[in-house]
Amino acid sequence: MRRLSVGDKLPSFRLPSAQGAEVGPEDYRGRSNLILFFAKGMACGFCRQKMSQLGRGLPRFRALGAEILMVAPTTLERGRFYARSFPLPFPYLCDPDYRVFEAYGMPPRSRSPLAKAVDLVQAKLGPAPEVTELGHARPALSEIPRLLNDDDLGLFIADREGMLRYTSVGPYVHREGYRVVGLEAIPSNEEIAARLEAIERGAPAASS
Amino acid sequence: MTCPECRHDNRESARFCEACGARLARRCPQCQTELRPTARFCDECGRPVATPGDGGRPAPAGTAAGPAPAASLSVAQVADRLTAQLPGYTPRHLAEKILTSRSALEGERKQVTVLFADCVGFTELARAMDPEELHQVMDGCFQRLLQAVHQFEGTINQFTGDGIMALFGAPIAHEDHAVRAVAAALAAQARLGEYAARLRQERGVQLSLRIGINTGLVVVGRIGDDLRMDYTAQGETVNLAARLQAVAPPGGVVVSEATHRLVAGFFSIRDEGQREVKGYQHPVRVFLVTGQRRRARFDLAVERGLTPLVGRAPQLAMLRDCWERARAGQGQVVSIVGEAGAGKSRLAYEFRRSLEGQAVTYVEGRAAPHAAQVPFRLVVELLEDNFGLRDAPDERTRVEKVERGVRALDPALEWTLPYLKHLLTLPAPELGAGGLDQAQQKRRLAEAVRAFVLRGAQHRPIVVLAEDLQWIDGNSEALFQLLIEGIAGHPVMIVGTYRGGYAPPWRDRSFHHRLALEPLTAEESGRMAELLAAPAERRLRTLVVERAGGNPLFLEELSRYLRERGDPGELPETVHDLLTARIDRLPDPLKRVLQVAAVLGREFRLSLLEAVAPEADLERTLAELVSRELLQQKDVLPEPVYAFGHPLVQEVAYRGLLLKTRTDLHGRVGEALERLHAGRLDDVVEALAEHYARSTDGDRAVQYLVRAGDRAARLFAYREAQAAYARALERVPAPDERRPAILDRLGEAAYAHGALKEAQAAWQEALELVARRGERRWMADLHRKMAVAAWAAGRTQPALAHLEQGLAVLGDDAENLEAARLYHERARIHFRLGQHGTATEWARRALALGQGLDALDVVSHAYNTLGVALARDGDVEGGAEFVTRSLQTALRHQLGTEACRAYTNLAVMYASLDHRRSEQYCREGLALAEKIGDRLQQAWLHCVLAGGHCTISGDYDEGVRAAEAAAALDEQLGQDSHLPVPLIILGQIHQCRGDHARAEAYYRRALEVAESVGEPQLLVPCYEGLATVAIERDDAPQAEAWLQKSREIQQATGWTSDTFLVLPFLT
Repeated sequence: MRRLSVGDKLPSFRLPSAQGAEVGPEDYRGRSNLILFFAKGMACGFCRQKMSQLGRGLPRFRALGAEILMVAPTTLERGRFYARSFPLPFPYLCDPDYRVFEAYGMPPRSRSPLAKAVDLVQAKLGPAPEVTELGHARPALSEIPRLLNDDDLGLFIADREGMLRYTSVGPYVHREGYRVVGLEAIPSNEEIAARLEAIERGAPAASS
Repeated sequence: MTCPECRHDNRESARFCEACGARLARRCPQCQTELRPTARFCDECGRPVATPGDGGRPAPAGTAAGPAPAASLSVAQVADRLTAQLPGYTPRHLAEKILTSRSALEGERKQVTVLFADCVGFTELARAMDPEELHQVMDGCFQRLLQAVHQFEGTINQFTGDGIMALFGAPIAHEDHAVRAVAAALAAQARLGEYAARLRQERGVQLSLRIGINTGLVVVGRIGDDLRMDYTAQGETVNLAARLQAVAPPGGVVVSEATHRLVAGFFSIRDEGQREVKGYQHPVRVFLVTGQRRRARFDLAVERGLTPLVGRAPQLAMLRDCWERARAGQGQVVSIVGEAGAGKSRLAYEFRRSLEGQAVTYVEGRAAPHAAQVPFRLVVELLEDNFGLRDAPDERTRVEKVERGVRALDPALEWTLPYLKHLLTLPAPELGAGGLDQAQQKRRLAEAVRAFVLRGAQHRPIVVLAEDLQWIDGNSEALFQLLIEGIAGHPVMIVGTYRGGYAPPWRDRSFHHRLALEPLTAEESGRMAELLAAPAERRLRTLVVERAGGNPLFLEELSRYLRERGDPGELPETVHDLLTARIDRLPDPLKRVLQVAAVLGREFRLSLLEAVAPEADLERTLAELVSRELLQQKDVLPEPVYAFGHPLVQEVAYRGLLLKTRTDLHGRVGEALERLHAGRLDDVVEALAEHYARSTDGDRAVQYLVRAGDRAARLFAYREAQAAYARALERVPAPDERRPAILDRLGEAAYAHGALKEAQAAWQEALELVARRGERRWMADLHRKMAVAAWAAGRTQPALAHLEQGLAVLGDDAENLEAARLYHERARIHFRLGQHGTATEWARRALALGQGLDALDVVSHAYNTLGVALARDGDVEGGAEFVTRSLQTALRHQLGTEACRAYTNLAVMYASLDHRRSEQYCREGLALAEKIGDRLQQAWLHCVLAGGHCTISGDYDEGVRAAEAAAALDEQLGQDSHLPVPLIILGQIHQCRGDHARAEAYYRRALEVAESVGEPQLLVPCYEGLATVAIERDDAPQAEAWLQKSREIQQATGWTSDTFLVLPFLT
């Protein structure tokens, strides 16, 4: 699986949006620059913080001729519920079987067998928080496959012609050896704005 | 009485002539033998004589021969007569021991074992026998009783009419006093049993002995020239022994629970359960001793199961090395030297185990403290072991075994048989028959043993283990000496164990090796404590390791004691008795100085000791104590500093002092410290507090305890500060003027390290006392402090109520620091409750007043609250500016808690602005919180860090660690106003990883606490977390229900859920 890089054409797709219609990058072709954000979605508090960050930056990005599309592996039904409950200023596209994630070089990434084993053991045997009225806090069998995979996060910026001008993709946890080196996948709003300004100025493409 | 010199007529009781001063001896009117002053019978002819106490009536004339009328003699009178002869009954070697050590013993608290023995049947005898006969029989009984007691070095303290009371452990100190007492009791029963059997046969009379034994503390009083010891019993020590004697069956020995603890395993004992005992309300547990077992302390340890050996590898290797050489025909002698409990027997045991499977004759024996006077005792032990005589049923078997053993080895050894039998007290021909004198006989006897051993070694290499040589009897020692001289070219290895202080005469032999068992290293002790697994709690384990001072026995005993009785401050009797005996063996000035030093502490300066104990030759005495390894010299310059060699030696020496002596000495130490450190008392304020606290000078104790507390608080050592204030409070009961101020400070210290409950209790009491005095401003301040503590503990309503009351108490008097602080506290709590309008208003008032009063803590807090309220309303940058000002104020004026609060808030705010700066604030805040011991704030900062790990670096594992640390802290401190935060973060992390079940469990727990606190910033994330979990389970109605609750809060505060995402948790 090839990772997308700067200069590539944005792969085409259409996905149902949690807010309503089917949406794809082509809808913005020729009209707007595009910020594509791939994340775990609403079920993750930390992703929500990043979504909140992008939402707060949206007015500024719009002024630079850009729109945001978010893609998450949420089922459409759940996505609709989320969209109703937590209003988002940009479309929340549902890709529950990772079709688009894969097209953008981010398949559900299988983790190392060792990490899987550790998680499995922890999930089934490890210390759990106190028993509540729900009984033991153990993941349900259906949840386990998800525990064995790691979603990548990604942020792409494309110009009006659908050409990639910026990519930042990586696992949420990024390690060099045993050291966590962190994730630069999600740049700050300042940085995104700077990229958009460069596009608007007609500067050459850049990759992080 | 007529003076033989001047014929002056003196009073009948006179001892000296009042006219000429000549000695007036009483003489028996019948045989003219000189009598002791108290004699009632002539000890030459048995004629009754009048005593001075009888009112001067002379013996009736004309009763020159024949028994006196029975009516004039009761059992009590006969007993009196025996009592009068008490000094004569104590063997000389014991009397000397007592008289040389008595001055050092007087006034000491001692653990002793008390034995009461009572002859049953005297009264019947008195009816059936004439007095002469009665006297003879009673004397026979007493003789046997006394022999048994003296054999084990007990002392007779009192005749009780039909019996005796004997003491073990004082006035002669023994580490095994309880074992001795029971052994003496069994010996007395055996001797008296034989005697009674004879009497029954010869005269048809019944006699038996009842014995009761108990162990406990007494205070030793004066020890008279007659060796009688005055004592004050502490508690029931003596009384219970007497009562137990009364419940003992005839011929039986009954011991109390306290004694049983010390002797269990050394004897066969039956638990008789609870018994009614006269004079006791509750039944008393009673044990019946049924027989002897041959046991040393170490054998008991083996029975209980040994802990794996720790350390001692080099010593074991050395033993093995000697063994290899001995086996090859180079005889070896090895001494294993160490203090009691150092592991000598254990090392020997390990050595023996390492010989398993090899061709070797292994013989062992042990010298015993109560048998140091018994000739050849140790050699007999060894021979008995060798021939397997210990469980031989009768004499015939014993003879057979010895003869078979010798003849099987070599018929040429036949000549040694009489000698060996003689040693083993088996029937043998008279040794003197060959015309040898006694010295020659002894020599021949030793040669016989040597010949036997060396011949045996030709057959198979021999290892002889002789334990506890410090108690070896002289004859055995001489025999060993001769044996060792002969083993050089033979496969014989002799291993001796002994404690420091004994020097074997063969130590200069070239094939003698000395293995010293040093204390275990700290690392080894730690390993051993871990193996013993006794106190699981780390603090207790450290305490045990520290107190044991590297002595493996003490480690085991302390661990066991702690496990069984749970009191880490107490000492097991076994350890206590070992050390007491060691201290009691010291000659007088050494012991006295050691005890005074014990009052000074584990380490002490020479100058201080001089000031308290102005002894002549103090330095020489100290040098002697150092050479005996009881003390160590730590420093020489600028002045000598000494320390106790073993921590428990100090403890035991200290415990030996009478309470009154102790308190006096502590007072003197306090005064000496004040003198020696005049002008810089703060350097020694802890020591001053410590000593005065144990003295009778209560005022100075309080004064220095408070000062010590203040000093500790200045150094952020809040726990120590709290402890010092608490001790000061013990000395100022309720009506004392000083009490509220100390309570207030105690509350401060407790709050500062997160002891919320204790802080609230102290302030509550202070508040009541101050209210009685009507000091309004102080009351207001205490109300504010209680509000702060209540809020931290998650008790919102009481917190608000206290703030109200504080302001109400002040009324119009509101231009002061107390008011300003109440304002800012109000501002803070309103902010946390989501009422930011009110919060901002109070913060402004606090700021204005605080600036006017130059109250910088108020200013810092007010800026802080203004900042967070602004940020929550959407102006994060503007809010951060205020909080930065708060931080600067706090840092400039060293307001630790205020600075930590600002760091926390800045870290949260910058998380969405500049995460590097955020992390920087976190780290600085944590460092400060740790430095000042502010654990409440540490929990906050750990959480900001955890959030950062998850959103910024994506390092979940680190995030989980930080959040779990914070949760543990909050739970420990009871900081319910923060506990939901780490729980929420943990929920979020698990949710992010897809583990919804676990996430839900965390959210639920968080919610439970958050609902009782009622704080929006805690509730909203819980509701939303639970809602998203429900959605992922496709349970839309449940999700909707949670979201509805979240929306209600958002409407009430005017904040959106997005607000809480951007600025999760502010304080």
